[in-house]
Amino acid sequence: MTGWMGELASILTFHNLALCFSGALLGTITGVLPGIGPAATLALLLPLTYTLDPAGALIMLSAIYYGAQYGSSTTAILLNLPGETSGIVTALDGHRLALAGRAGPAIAIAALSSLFAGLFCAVFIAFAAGPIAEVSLLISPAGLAGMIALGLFAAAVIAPGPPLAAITLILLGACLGLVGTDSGGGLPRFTLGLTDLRDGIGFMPLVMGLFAIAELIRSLETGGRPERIAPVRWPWPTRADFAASWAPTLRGAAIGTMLGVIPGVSTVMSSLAARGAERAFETRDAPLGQGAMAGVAAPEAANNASAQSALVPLLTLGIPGNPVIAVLAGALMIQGIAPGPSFISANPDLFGALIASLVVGNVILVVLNLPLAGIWASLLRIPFRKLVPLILVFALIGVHSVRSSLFDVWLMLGFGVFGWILVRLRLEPTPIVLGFVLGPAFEEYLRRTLLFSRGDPSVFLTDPVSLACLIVIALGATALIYRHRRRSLAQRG
Amino acid sequence: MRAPSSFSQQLTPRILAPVFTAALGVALFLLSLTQPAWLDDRIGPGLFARWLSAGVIALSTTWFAVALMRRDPADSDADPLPSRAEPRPSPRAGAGLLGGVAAFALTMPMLGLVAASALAALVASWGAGDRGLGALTLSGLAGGAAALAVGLSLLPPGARLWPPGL
Repeated sequence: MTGWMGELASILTFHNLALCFSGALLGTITGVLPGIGPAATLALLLPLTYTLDPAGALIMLSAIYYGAQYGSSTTAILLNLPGETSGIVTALDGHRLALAGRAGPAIAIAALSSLFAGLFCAVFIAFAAGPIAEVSLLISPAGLAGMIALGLFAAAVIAPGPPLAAITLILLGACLGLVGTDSGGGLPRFTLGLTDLRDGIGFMPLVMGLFAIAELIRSLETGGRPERIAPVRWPWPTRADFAASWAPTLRGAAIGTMLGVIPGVSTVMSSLAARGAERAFETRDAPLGQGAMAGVAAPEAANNASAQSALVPLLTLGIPGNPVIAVLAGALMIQGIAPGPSFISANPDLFGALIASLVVGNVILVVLNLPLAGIWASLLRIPFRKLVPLILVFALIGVHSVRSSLFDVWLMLGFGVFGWILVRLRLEPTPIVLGFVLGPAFEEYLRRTLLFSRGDPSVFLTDPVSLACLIVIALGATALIYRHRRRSLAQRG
Repeated sequence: MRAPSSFSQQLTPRILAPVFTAALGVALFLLSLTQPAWLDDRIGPGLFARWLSAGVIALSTTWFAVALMRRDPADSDADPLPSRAEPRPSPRAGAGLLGGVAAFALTMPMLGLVAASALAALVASWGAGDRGLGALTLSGLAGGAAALAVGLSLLPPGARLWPPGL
């Protein structure tokens, strides 16, 4: 503790603060622009850090990473365009708030929740990184499959629309996630003989087609999005907003921190779990899904905490839990530092600098984002039809830049048409994207589990984590059915 | 929520939605049959694909049956998006935006990122309702400028911003 407090003092040099600030700014900008994403940004900016000392490089790259997590919520709230997967969950309530003229408070609450979660997680990493990482390694593939099943259940619970339609669309999304080369046997699956599909459907073409294109067409056709949003005189959260958000923020930070430590658990799963957990609590302002601050605070706290605690398995065990962390691991290796079990003991100053940078970086991000909340919100005052061409251009560049592939642009067009059909059928695309993200991961762990158990499915009942997840799913489903029945009976009289 | 204009208007998406997902499920199930479910004693690429697509078909059928049984078309459970306004057929919005994407994909190899983005923005602007030459040109220029800014600051140096040869 005193070690990283000392590092906190030592990081406050102009040089390190400038690196942290520029990293946070770059991360926020790339997070705001849909498509570029933190992994690509880290990879692109990696050469910039060659000339820096290891601590400086780690500070800047970490700041880019969590800056992008902050930034992605902005487009999700303002335009219903998630820049990152976790933004999908924030968009469910955040965009409703924006349409109601409350974009400023929503963005500010997202920033403050993320700040709290970031600080909470930094303290957590400083104290408990090692022991927690060792425990997380004990979770078997069956346990991870159970946790992802729980994530899929949470996705069905939080998805807009009736549960039957949501579950069907989640399964459909999971099918789309299977397109590509099968990880087990290396055989192509659902590729229709197209070589370009062998690497699978990219996240960006799917989400930009379903959200950007289809949503823009829907908005233009229905006039469902007001041509101008009412001007926001006071862009900051009110006391009522804080009252509605503090408890969800606490819960989201705790859930995100715990889940982020587990390798393979993505930030979107943490956001889903946090929002799913909020259904058990009464919201103070509006029901979840209809512009509740809890629907912004909980997932934002969870995804920021999860993004940071994902550093734990890298630093303590050398396991990168997600692609962004893998790029970060590469950056450390370029600097001649091997992340792994001996990282903390061999590099206490570097570990301390990282923890200190998490604290300073999160504060910088809020200083950066709070004044910008009003400016971002004022973007909504631009007439919508003037924004449409620019949104399309950013979406196109984002999709094209990920793999420099025009096939992805055509794919985006295809998903735009698909999304437009869904709109006509009055179906939401969100469950499809959630299934797309979680389905392949579920298959992977299911496959591993059955491989280890020699095809015996009873392992899901004997593994404690898997069993606990199945019990939670069963209890949750029973509670939902009970609530639905009670509501139906009440409506009938 | 807009009041339901007629029973048939409410009924059509309600019935068509599960039919659409069931049709996709059938197509995916047929495709999954072309893959082996098992490779010796290991799980093959077809197994999970069959389970999922069969699940889509089964759930869509249940959904269809539930939709048929509901007598009140305005029932909130039967309407997946009760709070959203119903789309009005407007070929221009769809054609403009989808045309913008197609224009980008077709012209990008010849014109480079900046000009292709400008063209896409121009077509999308037409779809969004702009009619005057000035407004369309301004949208195109704004799209090109945005692409140039992103291209110079965030894309790798090898990104093709300009037509080949420039």
